[in-house]
Amino acid sequence: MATDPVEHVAAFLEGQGYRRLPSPLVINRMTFRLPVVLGGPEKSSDLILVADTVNAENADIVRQVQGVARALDVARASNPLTTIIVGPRPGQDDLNAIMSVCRVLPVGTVTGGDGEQHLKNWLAVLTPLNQIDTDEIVADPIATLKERIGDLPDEIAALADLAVDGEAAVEGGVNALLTKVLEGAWEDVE
Amino acid sequence: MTLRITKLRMSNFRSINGPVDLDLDAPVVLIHGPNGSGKTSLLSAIEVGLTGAVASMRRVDRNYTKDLVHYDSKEAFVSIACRHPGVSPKPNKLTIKRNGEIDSDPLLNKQQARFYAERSFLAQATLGRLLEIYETSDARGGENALTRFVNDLLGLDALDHLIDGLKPAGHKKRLQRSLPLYADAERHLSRLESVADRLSVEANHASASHVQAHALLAEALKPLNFNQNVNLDQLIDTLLNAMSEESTAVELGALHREVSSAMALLEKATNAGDEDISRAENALAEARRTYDVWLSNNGARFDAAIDLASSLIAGLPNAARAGRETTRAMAREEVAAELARVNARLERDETSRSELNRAVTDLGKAQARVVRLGERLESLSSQSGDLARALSELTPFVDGDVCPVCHRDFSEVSKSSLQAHLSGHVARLSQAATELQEVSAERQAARRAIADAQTAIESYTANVLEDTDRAELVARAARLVEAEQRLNAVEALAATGDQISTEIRDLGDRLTKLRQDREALGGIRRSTVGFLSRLSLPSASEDEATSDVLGRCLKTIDERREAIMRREQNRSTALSAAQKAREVEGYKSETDDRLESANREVERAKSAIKKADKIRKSVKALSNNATAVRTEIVRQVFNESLNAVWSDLFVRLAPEEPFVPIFSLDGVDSGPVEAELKTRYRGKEQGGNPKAMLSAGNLNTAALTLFLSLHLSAPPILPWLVIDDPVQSMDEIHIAQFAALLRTLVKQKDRQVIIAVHEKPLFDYLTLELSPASEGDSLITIELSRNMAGQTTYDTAVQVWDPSRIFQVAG
Repeated sequence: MATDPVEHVAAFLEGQGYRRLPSPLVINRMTFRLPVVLGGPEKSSDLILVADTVNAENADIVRQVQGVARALDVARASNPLTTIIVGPRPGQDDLNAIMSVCRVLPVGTVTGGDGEQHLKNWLAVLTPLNQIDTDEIVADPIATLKERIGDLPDEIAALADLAVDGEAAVEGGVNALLTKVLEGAWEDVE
Repeated sequence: MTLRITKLRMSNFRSINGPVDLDLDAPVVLIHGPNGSGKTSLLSAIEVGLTGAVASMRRVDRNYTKDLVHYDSKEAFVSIACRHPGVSPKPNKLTIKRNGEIDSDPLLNKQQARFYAERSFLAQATLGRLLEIYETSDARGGENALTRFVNDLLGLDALDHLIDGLKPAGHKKRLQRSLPLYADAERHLSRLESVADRLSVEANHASASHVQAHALLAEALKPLNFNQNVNLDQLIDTLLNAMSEESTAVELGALHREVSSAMALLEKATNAGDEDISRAENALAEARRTYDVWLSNNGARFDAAIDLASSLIAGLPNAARAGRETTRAMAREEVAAELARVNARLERDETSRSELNRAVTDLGKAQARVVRLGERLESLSSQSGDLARALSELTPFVDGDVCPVCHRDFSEVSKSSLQAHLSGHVARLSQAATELQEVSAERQAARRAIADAQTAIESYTANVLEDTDRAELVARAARLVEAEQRLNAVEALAATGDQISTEIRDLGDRLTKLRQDREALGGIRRSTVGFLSRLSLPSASEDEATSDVLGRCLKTIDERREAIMRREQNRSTALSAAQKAREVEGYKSETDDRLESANREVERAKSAIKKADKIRKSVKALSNNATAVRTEIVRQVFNESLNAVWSDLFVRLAPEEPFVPIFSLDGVDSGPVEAELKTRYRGKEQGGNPKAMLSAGNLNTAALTLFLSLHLSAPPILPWLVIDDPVQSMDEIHIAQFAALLRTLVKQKDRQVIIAVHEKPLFDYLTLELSPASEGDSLITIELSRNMAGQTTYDTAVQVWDPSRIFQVAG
């Protein structure tokens, strides 16, 4: 595994289907010096710029990113642009300046104990979604219930249909059933 | 086939004023408008068109549909179309009336509609609800916000209604409150049971009485030698009628009376022999001879006296019948009375003769007086009185000597004055009148005297006897005197004769009695034969005395009556025992019947309560099943898979947040399962309540991602996500991540995303971020606003994929 944070990020993204682009990056004959530039994933037109605040001045990084954005604007290109900043986080003014032209992911220090997970979190938005388990059934709870209570008498099962009308309707339904049999406790009054 | 909502047409729906016609057939539809421009109304229209309802509004007000029509309009119109194998390809057309009636069916079926409302559409209200979960997640006991959310989302409220509605049936106390009839039935049963218990005691008592009565009956029947097994009614009938010896007793009583009276008769009758009779006969003959002697010596004399009297007095009694002395005394009395009468008549005749003579003299005198007075009257003018009055009336009219009648001068004929002349004339005339009155009165009195004398003469004349009659009366008086003397003379004779006659009668009576007694004794003797035969006794021998025979009869009668009495006593005892037995039998059968019917009623009540308890058992089973289903659903939804998805999504939007929200289920297997909201720190340890752990922005993120997780964790029946302004309090980093997430959902998960936002920069950002990036990709933007008249205006644009707009890096 690469020990250079920039390479670390590049390797992670390459693992997610991004392509490393030639450096330096040239747009409309304008040259931009950034440690790593990636495109993709697959056919996607995203551009990922990776900068390291340890190896470059913050102001230089801001200038480079804004330049890329400006160049794309001039080229009327609509590629989504993301800047990943490794190393100590720049000041908020610098971040805001970059944020106004593209998405910024200030991943910070990516080595150390949970550095891998940390990086993964920060770059997750650039990665495809995991396979999601969709086994769960979206069914009408009452219908589900009715499937389970086939052995109950019909009149009892029918109480489930009253549920949509509220608690009182169900209680009334139960009481009606009980009333019907309880009235049998008394002799028929002609 | 890409499954999409393709078209929405609407007018006057909620805050949309006027018609709106939108094409939605793109993977991403971005709707923008300032607050109040109709974004929420537009998304509600999609919901109504698809499901026929607005779930978030219905939660607040069941009658919300009347609020769906724009307040300036009479009706609203919504039409929606989509492309989906399970949905009609034709757009539907819903008209909503002012009164809230919706006239047509939604496009989706029930299951699809549920999915849409629960997992495809995130209304602002639902998002608010989600946020509320974090606000009040510490609610204990009662329903907490998460429970409400879960219920709303999963349709568990129906199950909860069912479980709560079934609850009273599960507990007796609660059921008694909910259905007083149940308590009534239980009380009814307990009352019936106590009645049955009481009747059972009564029946035992009746049974004992029955046994006792039959024992007594058996005892009473013993002397009668009766079959005890005979039917009671028959027995009573036999005892009452067939065995009755009353007629025999009556007969014996009558016989007893007859024999007794014969006995009494026997004791009274003289047993006269022939000698006694002949002596009586001789005494009678002697007496008759004495009488004959008396008759030949004195009979003629006595008869002569009576005959004389009878010739004078009619209606005297017959001496032979009334007795001689009686006849004589009566004749004597009558004769004396007649004599007194005759003498009195003769005396009156004498008196009348002398009075008659005096009356005749008086008459003659009065007649002569009348004649004289008549003569006197004729000399007096009858007119003088009236004339005197008339002339005196004239006196005031006399003035001087001229007459007021003839106008002649009186002085020509007299020297006195006319006035004096008139007064003197009137005085003379008045005196004559007075005399006339007195004479008339005198003559009247004389005439009355004549009448009196004539009346007296008539009266006396009537009392005076004719001479022949008088002579006859005198002769009769003489004869009466003679008869009186004779009757006085035979007084002693008559007494003697009467005495002898009495003696003869007494002797005759005595002889007759002797003969009758002898006759009666013979009769009694003859009737003893009848008595003996009626009693079936041996007949009497010649020398058995009649009194002995009768005594024998009486003794037999007494013995037999005593025996009958004894038997009657037994019969009566048996009869009352039988009647008592029958009574007890009736009482017993009645009590048994009542007990049986009471037991039937108890059974009936028991069976009703048993049936009710059976229903309660089934209800309990239903409730258990409902709870189980609820638990199952909750468990199924809030499982680790959901937590994994949620965590994944949450981290994408908030990579810096060390606390990740998760659902935790309480570990209890039975009873209702409630999901509890917690956090997990750095994917490892439990981190506590999200409200405390997460910032406001991250709470919003948590809610939003929870919805997306729920959408993603179910099979995509409808691969649509319709989200109403979800980023109200997200900071910019989150917005950027959210845009990336939406893009991932569209590109990787083929979801159609329709999203409304109110912030223009966000709209622009999303437009850029979600712009078409490949062949066939497209983006629709809709900008809503209002014109000056308040009508809804809209501007819609479609972006399609344009390769020239993509910067391609060689690489």
